Amino acid sequence: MMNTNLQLILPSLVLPLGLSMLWAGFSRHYSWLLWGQPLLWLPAYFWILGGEVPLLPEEASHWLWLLVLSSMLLLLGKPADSRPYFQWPSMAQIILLAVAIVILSRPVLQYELSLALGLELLLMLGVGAVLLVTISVNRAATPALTLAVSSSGLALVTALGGSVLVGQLAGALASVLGVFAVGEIYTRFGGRKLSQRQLVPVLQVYLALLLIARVYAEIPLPSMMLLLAAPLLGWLIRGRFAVIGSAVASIAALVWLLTTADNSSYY
Amino acid sequence: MKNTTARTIARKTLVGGLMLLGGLGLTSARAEIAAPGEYTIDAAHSTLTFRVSHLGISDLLGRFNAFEGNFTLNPKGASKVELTIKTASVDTNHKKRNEHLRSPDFFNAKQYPVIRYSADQVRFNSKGEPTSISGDLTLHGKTRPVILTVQSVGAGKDPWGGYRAGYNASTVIKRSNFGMNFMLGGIGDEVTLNLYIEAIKQ
Repeated sequence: MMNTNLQLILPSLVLPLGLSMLWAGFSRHYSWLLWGQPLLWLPAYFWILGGEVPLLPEEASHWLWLLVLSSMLLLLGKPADSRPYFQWPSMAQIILLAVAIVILSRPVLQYELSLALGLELLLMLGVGAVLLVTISVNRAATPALTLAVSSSGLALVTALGGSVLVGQLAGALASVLGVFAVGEIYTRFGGRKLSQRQLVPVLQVYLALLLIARVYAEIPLPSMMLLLAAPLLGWLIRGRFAVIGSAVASIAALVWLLTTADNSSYY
Repeated sequence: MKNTTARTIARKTLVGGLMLLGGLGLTSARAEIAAPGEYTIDAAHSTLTFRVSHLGISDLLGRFNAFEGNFTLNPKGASKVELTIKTASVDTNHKKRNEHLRSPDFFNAKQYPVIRYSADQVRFNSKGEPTSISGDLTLHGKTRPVILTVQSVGAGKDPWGGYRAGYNASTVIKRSNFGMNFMLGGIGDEVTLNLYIEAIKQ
């Protein structure tokens, strides 16, 4: 039986980061990077789910592999970069996000429909839509770093405050982006940057994981809102240090959790 | 003042006497075999617990605080058992752990708000007491056959004119069979379920 710490660290950190480094090192063609990068999260995802490939999704997290693939398929259209607002590629991704929100929260909506929950889902869709439009028109200075920092924040908040499993999935997302995040900090490190398009499927997964963390793992509402704001700040603030906005929001989400929730250990 | 004290003592004596009589009444009925019929579980006098290994060095006990159910027992006819447990009521005497148990790591209580046990096969011994129940347990979105071993505790009239029967039931399940695979290394796969049921005849 594998050591518990290894069981947590290998799939959520070592495997995705290792795959990402290999992929970045060996794939010389742009399209390989474009199509390969978001898929690198999937091996860690299947490992974390216990080796299952949920062909017929039952739980909310089982839908995530379909979300990644759907988002990538929608990218097959014309490039979203430098397009005006609300052109088809962005609209298609927003519709996909709306469908994902409904599917992921459907079990709870069936028996616990409340105004508060409805407003939270609408808020997530609204901010998500702004993010998806922004990502296709705005050249952020450090897009991978922004999402990596936000995903790290989500991983910590969820693992400490709700579900280790969902936290692991978010941690793997941050790890997949890790090598590109480092590349953005040290531009001489290969000089490769993720394109905005590569980030769209990863962003969809980030938003879906945030929703699962809130609805199923019940992380606090203020932490959820701060984690929703984290990538937005990194994209909207101009300049090389825009990522500080994401980092501050992510740390604030964690601080809120640690200061308000019961954090007594029982492991 | 003296009158008040005397009245209080008299009332307590009366209540105590009635309880004692009631207790004696039930005590005399304990050996009875429960009358066939339909029963509703009295949740106030019933307990559902589970036991699971922690790190292989100790056993952890937990319980579900919210449940309801009914059953029909008939050694010569059809019998059935229905039990519904609210998943979110899981309680291990530790708030943080309860929250974690409700999360997608374990019971995923938001996704699967109830645990159900439904059975229509009950075996009886020669005295007409139920000895085992074969049914389907739906837990964590998965339905698996589960056999409960049953022990009759007692039956008889209660002090309020009703008729009650008590049973203890137990079984051992593997949580991995129900797709609950998180931390199988540290937290045991085998879970012992114990049901202490008191039910009122309808």
